[in-house]
Amino acid sequence: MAVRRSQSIGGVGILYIVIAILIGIGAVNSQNNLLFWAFGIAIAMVLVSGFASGSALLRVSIRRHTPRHAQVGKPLFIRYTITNRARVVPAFALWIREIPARDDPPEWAQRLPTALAFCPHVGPRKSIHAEASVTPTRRGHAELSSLRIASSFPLGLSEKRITFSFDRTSKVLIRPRVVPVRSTFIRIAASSSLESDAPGDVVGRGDEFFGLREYRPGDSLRRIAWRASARSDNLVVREDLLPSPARLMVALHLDRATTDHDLDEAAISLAASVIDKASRIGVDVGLIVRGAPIDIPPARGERHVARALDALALIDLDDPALEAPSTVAHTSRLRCGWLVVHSGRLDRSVGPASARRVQAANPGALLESATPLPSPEAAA
Amino acid sequence: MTTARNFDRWLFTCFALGMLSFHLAQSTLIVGAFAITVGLLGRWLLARPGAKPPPRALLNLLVIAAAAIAGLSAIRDPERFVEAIGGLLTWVQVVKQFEQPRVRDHAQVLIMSVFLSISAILTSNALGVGLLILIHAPIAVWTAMLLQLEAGRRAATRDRDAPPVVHAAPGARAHLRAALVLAWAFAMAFSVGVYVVVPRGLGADVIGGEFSSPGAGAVSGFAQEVRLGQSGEIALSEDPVLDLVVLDEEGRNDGGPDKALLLRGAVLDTYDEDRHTWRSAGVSGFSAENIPAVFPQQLLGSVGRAEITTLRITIRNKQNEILFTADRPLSIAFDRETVIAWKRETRELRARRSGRVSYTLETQRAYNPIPGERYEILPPLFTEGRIRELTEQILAENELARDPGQRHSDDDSRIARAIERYLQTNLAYTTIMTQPAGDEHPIEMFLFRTQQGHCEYFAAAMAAMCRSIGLEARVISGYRASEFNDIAGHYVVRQSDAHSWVEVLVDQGLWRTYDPSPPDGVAASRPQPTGLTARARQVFDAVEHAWVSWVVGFDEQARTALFGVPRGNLRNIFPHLDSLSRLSPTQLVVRVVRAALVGLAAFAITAASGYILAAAISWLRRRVPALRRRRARDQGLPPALSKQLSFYAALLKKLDRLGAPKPEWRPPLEHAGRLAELDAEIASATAALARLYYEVRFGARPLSAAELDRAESLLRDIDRRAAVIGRRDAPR
Repeated sequence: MAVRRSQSIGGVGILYIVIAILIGIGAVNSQNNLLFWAFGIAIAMVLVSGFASGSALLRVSIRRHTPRHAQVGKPLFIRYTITNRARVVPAFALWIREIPARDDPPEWAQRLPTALAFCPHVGPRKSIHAEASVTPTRRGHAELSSLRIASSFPLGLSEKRITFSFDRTSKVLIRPRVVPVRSTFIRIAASSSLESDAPGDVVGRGDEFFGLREYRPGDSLRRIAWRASARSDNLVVREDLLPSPARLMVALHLDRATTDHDLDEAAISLAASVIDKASRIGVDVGLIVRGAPIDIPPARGERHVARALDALALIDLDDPALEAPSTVAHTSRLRCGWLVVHSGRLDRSVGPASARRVQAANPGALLESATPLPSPEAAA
Repeated sequence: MTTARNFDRWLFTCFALGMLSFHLAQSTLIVGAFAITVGLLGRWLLARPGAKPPPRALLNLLVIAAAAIAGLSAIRDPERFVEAIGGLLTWVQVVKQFEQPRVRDHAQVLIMSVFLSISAILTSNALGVGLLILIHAPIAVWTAMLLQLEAGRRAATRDRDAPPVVHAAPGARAHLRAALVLAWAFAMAFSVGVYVVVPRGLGADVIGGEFSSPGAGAVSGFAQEVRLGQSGEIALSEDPVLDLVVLDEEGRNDGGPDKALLLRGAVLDTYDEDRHTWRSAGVSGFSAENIPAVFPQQLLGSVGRAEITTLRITIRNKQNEILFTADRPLSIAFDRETVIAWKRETRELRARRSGRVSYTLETQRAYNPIPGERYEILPPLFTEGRIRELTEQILAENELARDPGQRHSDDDSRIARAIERYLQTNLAYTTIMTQPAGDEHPIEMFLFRTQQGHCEYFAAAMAAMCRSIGLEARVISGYRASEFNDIAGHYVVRQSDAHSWVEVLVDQGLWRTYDPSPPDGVAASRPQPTGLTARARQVFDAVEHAWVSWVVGFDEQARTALFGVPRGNLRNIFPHLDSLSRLSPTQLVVRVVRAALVGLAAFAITAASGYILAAAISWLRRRVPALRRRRARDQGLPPALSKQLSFYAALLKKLDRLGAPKPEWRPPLEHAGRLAELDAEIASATAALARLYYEVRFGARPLSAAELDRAESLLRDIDRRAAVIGRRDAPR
């Protein structure tokens, strides 16, 4: 870890020094003793300011604790442990600011606005936690490499800074924005999977007969197969198969004919929102992206949703593979309902003919009312 | 850190102190009090729930109006530039109290309050102003420190949906206070060093003398003429206008409560018959002298072996040209380069300097004729009429006679004494005067009809009586220094000490002083405080004198004396430096340390009194039951219930020390939930205490003894856990 120290006098400091000099000139000119005293105080405060902010930062170190995931539009808390190893001198008013490294891509700042934490005080030989709250604006990997601690305590005249350049960068995967979508829309889209009336493969209270077994205490009397029991002289109960849950396959079609990445982002956000909502309302949901090696079969649960959102987060819109023709094998997923999210024009070659389709520019009934799109201007 | 939460109060304190110091310096305290009240009103209005600040455009318009008025005032009267700027700062700050406060606005109010204090210094160096500034300066530093914390807190929590936790480590407040104490101690020591070391006099008035030497007290109510025939009562204030130290030839203090001294101001040797006014002969005969700082300028030659007395005079706020002298001025030395005009014949001294003026005068009283002394011949007056008749009657009663054509006679001294005695014994002293009837002459009215008047009538009557028989006499107006302060060893001269008396030419070049006002009457007109009040006033006067002499009046003479180098002109600064360079390092260090210590002691004494006062006010605020009750009333609770909430205040303090302060906007119970991250036990205890707090605060239910005991026990639990956390967090 490289540490670089610097110092600067801001506008306030320069103004203060100018005023102090004017007071000095006024004192000499008028021989006003109280002005001589005020001049002494003004100069002393410049010295105090320089010394206090410098000595306070002399033995300060910091550790960053970054979460692995974040989501566009939701606050991301970056936590820091600040340690003051000085024996006597406390540190006050420490500003902790993430700064992009020199070789960071320019879009870094678009993904993650500058994170700023403030630590009012760290006593000598003490550690304290501080946190910065920042709301990511773009999905993808954000790398946190360098950070800066600055203090202009006590008077804000001069600012002392320490820049820490860490050897290992902290990466935060920023998932797409999730907007509220209508559950009815998802149920309707997924209902086509139920038209086949195919039973599932989990034993439970369904309508499809699975087999008989011996009665166990606790079984409902209603489940007893009386005729079979009479035949075998033992109580046996009937077992059914649970009905197959609704299944929804979300296909994302990023239209390469348009170069508007905002619409692509809106489409990704819609796909992420549908996946999140579907999982919450008990629909097995899968994800497939045209041209990208993303093919996640339908399932439920937090980990499954996280996997799908991570995959969406990592889509590289500049990847030429996205322009490849559809390779989606529709037949393997005929028992799913299909929802195709198009970033641009409707392409009916994506997904089966029965699929429901949504355009990012006009999501229609999919969104809950008054829910803003990620990029309203682009949608317009 | 709840200290940052008190930031608003500290900022308002700065605002109020800046206002008070400036308007005290300007003698417009009522305006200052009004501005503070309006500012308080603005804060109160904005603090109400749902309150909306006035439109920003309206506030900007008010600021522009204030700037325009200040600009016009400064253009119209450039000498009142500081006053105009101070007025502008006053009203801008008041307007700012009506704005929704942002960090930038806070900083502006703080800076403007400091500027107001600097404007106060430019206007006045009075003790009250100095004390207010000595209190204001560290509070401004403290507020600036808090501003740094407040700005950070606001910037870090600007995301209101999910404000991150901003908390300080245990002991933050103590460290912050220690930082202030150390910073201020260093600043005081450094500034005293600058104060003592910087040579005085160099560069004075280089860019104009508009802001030179502000006053250090009340403006003297001194009149340069004696106008008779006006009715009404003379009401002069008790404000000190001048400090006087009298030293004998050995340099010992020669003042005392039984010795009164007449300080000559204006010499009024011309009588204007039409206006019934004694006035000065005019500017003719004055010669100008440029007197460098410290260096004494010879004025008159010494006469005989009469004792030479040294007078150290400080006029606190000089607004006219008169410099006060006594008897024959032999030499004069100023604290800074000064141009004087002086008239040998009348021994009058004048200088255009305004504000505080300090000078040292060597004087001598002449007892014998001075051959060769030049002076103008004063023509006889009232040679006919009742005044002349009365004078001759007095002479006859005393078996004296005088030939009006004769310039000097051997009996002149006795004649003057006889007239003085007549006036002292036959007429009464009063400060209330009646107007002459019709064409009645005021002096005749005084001598024959009312037979009572104030010092100007006595002096005017005696001068008229002397001049009526050809005896040259003139009215002198000045001050009668009689109030000796034995603590500081100086005379305190107040506005009410303004006095008039007479000088009579009794021999060749020998002007002798006569005071025809009845001494008992004069004393009775100025009732002196007695007992404890008198002592308290003496102590205050002594402190004020120390302030004026040692802090405000610290000049090159005092500075060089402190460093042990010989007195002299500032042109001799290089020889001084040379003499310093010949000192051994130890001697040099000793001198610098001694100088710094003396300066520091002077500051410390004056500052300490201010700080003690501030501490006393703070203590009273906490202790006085009435104030406590008022606080309870503010919470809308009966005092008994409010008293029960002390456990909640203790809880907040403990959380603050723990580094987990409760933000004002967060309910206590919610805050307790957040403390789970810190420690589960502390969170649980805090939650229990929060529920008790709700019972009292919102349920208005008094807690039972058992519940209060439980609250105490929960607070102890928090202490216990805090100690464990403290040990755990300590570096190994």
